[in-house]
Amino acid sequence: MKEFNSLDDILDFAINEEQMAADFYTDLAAKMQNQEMKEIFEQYALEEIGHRPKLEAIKKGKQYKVAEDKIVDLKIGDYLIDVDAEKTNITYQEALILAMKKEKAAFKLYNDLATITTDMASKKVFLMLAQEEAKHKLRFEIEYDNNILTEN
Amino acid sequence: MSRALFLSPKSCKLLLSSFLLFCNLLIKLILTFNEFDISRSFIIMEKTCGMKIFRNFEEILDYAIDKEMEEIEFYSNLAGRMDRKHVSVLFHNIALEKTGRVLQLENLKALKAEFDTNDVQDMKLAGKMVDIDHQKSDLSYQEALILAMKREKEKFKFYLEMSECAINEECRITFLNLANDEARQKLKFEIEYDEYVLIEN
Repeated sequence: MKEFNSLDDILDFAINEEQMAADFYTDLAAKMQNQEMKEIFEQYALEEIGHRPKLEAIKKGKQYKVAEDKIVDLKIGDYLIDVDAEKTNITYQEALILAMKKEKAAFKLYNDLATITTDMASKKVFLMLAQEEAKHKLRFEIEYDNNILTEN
Repeated sequence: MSRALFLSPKSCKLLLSSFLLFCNLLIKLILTFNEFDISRSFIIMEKTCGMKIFRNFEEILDYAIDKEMEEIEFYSNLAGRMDRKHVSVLFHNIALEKTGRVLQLENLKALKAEFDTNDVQDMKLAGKMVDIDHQKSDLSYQEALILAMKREKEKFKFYLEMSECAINEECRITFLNLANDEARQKLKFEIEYDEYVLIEN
């Protein structure tokens, strides 16, 4: 997908990203020895899975209204994160950095969607989703501060 | 010949932690001698060795409200000093959101929320909130953003820990929502930093 052509494109992209994030966190949780972080990754995987039905409800409801020119303003490149798919053995530090980048990109997407939508119900859902991604991002950042920065 | 004493950052951190622990124990000892009911008190240790003791949950809420009020002043002040209009609006909006948050905290006081006193005592709250010089009058745009990000991160930790101590569900959810608000505000500043400061440098 090179660019967004419709609202459905954007929502499909977001749904796919949510699933990928959920898989990523589930995978990380399985590798964690630290119980607290294991639970956090499991909880966040569940929260990402929970985002999917909310996005699908917006897609099905078709109440989400936005001007066509606003869709063109949303560039897919702003919300994509480069991931080296070949690399199988990422370190914990790399995993946290990747997770933070993904969360920030997702936050931007939902925040931008909330800004351009005129339908109040959808706006509220997007803001809630953005808020949740922000929480994930900051929690990973704190883990990074506490366990990676102090170790280095 | 005098010999300078060099300490690595890790040693400094260890020394500081030990000192804080010592201060904590000392205060507890003094309070015990004064027949103060320590089991009902909450201690907040601050990085600058300032220590706050709260006798009840209401005092913690008052502390949180004071911090929010300080931030309203801080962000309103920053908003007035920013040349870029969109940044001024960003700071101004965050000050407004924080005003709403003060009302939420006031409502919690009315709820007479219950807290797990053991958990609250374990908290090392507001560690870095006081070590940021927000009085500096000639803050650059970059410094203002860094300062704002630090403050939001510390407030996030504060509210998250408060939510973990809450027994009352309504109170727990309120604190979680407050923590999420801080996370959102932090990320907004971070994106602003990425887009304007990092690119310009």
